[in-house]
Amino acid sequence: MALGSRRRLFQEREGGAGSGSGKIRQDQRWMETGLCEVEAKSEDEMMTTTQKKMARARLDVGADPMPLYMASAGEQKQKQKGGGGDEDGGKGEGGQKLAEKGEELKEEMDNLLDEIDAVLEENAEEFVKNYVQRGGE
Amino acid sequence: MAISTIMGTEIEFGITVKNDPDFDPISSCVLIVNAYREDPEGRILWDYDQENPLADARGFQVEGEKYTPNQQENIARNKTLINGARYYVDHAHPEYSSPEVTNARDLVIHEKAGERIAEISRREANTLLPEGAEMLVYKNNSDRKGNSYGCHENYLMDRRTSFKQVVEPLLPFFSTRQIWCGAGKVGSENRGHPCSYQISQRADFFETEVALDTMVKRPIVNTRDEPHADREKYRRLHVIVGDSNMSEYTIYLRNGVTALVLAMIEDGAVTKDLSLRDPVRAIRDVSHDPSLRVRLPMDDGKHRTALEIQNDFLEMVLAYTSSRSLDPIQKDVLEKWQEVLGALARDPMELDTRIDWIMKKRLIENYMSRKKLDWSDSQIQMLDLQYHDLRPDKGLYFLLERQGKAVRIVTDEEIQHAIHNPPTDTRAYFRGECLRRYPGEVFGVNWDSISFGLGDDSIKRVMMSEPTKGTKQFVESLLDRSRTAAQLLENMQS
Repeated sequence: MALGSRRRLFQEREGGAGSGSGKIRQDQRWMETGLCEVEAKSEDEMMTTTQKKMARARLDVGADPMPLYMASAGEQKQKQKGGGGDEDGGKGEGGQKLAEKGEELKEEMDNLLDEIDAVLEENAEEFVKNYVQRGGE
Repeated sequence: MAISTIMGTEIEFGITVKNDPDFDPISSCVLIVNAYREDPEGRILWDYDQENPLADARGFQVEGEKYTPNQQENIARNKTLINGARYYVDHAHPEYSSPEVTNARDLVIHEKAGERIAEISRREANTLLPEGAEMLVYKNNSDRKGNSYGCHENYLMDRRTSFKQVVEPLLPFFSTRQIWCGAGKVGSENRGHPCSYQISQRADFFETEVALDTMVKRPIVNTRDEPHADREKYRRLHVIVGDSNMSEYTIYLRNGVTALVLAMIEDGAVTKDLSLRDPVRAIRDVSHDPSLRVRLPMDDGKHRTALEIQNDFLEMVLAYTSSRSLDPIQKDVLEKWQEVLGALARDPMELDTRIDWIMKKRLIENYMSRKKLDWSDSQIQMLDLQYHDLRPDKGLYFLLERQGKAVRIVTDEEIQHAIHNPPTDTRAYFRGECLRRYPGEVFGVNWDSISFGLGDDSIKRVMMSEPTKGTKQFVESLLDRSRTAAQLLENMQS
């Protein structure tokens, strides 16, 4: 698309709902990259626009969060355990007697249920009762 | 075929702190988001100037106030990551918005990377809590007390497709797709009919067909018209009706199939009117019927089951795609969808390693029969919750995965890589790479822009209105030539 028509599109976009508040001040260039520089604002200007609109919807976070942020400077980077292997049991289908297969499946299930018992949150009743969220989105 | 596929997901996590009588969700969210320290340091704003969540796709602007925090709050609540994602505090939930990707497989990789990022920061956050307290994070959608939080899918669409054209087929599609992408839930809430187990986490919360709201009176089709891209060319379909899935296979189908259906809609290839008489009632009735037998009244006077409606969609998509060339992932998605609908017709339990609501149901039923428990038992509710626990050693979904009882779509290595690397084939690449290369110079970010502070009191904003540009192919050499953001801007103009 020619630069001229791009520019027109862009200006329309600037005027429409959801557009940025800045004006096109600099020469804008569409490159193959799909990027274009559209404005040069001073930091002051940018913050004033933002700050004018703030406060109304401001949520009180209680304590200043930054000290917590600073406090987490601890270096420990914990390695992800990963989700575990990819193996799918590797049970050959052919030639196995049904009874053996059934026995095997039962054993697998028993192992799974034992593992659940090992990790399931204690005091389920209390835990489930206390799990309360605020609505989101 | 339609326009190129661009998609992403936004996941709101549930959060709680065990053994902390003073637990406050908002400060816990700020703590966990700020505990994420894998990326280079930077004080980077989320650029709210570019947002307009009150624009309605039906062509009007809804009145209301736009949320814009002050600078310190902004920085404390928002992290934009080098993998192109946004990790932030949304109301009282930590939220992960994945970078834009071009296909369902990459979507799985990046959604799963989001789970791990939340888990990494959860563990970091725990080192700051008082002795004995432990923060826990869940990828689910409800607390079973009537509070819901979302998993939103986003799909870039052609602006020329009228919104009406989008809504009509989507109402029956969204009301019934849960039979293969529901995450399953014990019991009901929000004044739903009592039940022991239902297919969807979210169905109880949908109260209207089409609207802008996401928090009250939730609609099956959401009308938010905020494309985060050139709005002359694109719309973004903001899908709020889905569940937070754990199973890779389910996530893959959820986004892959939905993208195919949307492409069919864009190309005007919907050949059957599948309008339901009452979609809001239907979405709940389908959810409350794991036997898949309920017959839904249709506008044409007939009745169809959710599975029959999904088979009708499959048939239309097969016809639509028969004359088009699909890429290998789209082909695979289509085959898997077909397979899954076939299995649902024979015996849904065949899918107990693939589809979340069935995996969870199998797990719970086995546990119940061994322990002689029933659905109302608190241990059963605990199983439901803990299926979505993000701890790899405690989460029950991960337990299934370890035992080979969850079919994988991607590898652990791919997920791990996506924690630190953006997709290479969307503008997320440019965003992520700028954050990696010039962290000290990035001033603010939004999906379609990135601005730089160059130390001389001026802020320069670079627009990225084309989600398919700004890719590695287009900008890698530009970035390689630019040691600083100032050079980058200079090089952009030369």
